[in-house]
Amino acid sequence: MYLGRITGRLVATTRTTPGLEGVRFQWLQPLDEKGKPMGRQLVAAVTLDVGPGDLVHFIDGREAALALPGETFVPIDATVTGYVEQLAIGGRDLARDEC
Amino acid sequence: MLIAQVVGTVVAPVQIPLLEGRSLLVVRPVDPHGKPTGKTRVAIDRIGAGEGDRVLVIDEGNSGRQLLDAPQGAVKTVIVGFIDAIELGGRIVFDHRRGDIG
Repeated sequence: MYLGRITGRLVATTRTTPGLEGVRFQWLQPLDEKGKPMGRQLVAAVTLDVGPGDLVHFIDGREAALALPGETFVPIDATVTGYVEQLAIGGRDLARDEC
Repeated sequence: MLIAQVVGTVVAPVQIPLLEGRSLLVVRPVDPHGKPTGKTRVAIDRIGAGEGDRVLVIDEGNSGRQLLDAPQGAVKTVIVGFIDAIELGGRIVFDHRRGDIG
């Protein structure tokens, strides 16, 4: 899993893809251990109660589909797996420092 | 598997069910000399590691699922061991009591 910051939301109609009911899409910036951007922003599937501004961890690859409840054979390559409330690195809490 | 340095801890109250109650640590992949070699990521800790430890990390789904006994689990990165020492070319380059040795 990687750290990330959700920066936006998007709505996409995916009628042709069964198994994505209740899955929302959000725009996410992966972060490094200093809270700085790491790599390109990406679209992540979201079923947890998170939204723009939230610090999260997410998983990619095949595991992204496995992270979704119910039907797990869906074409998803990144899924938010948790809302990070505290990120203690080097004695600082990066979740509170608004990195 | 990766060698990694534990650089922090994650507290995440809202998570996918698989991760409930599991301890998460931030790990930085490093080479045998301790130099960063990859993207820092979040790992499931199975051994009670803490910030500052040099650890062995599995970073592959199938092994992760076996470790957690979760055949459909969304798991990839799991800490599986403490690294006590690394020998390279006949020389000890890392010892957990003294850290990186040149």
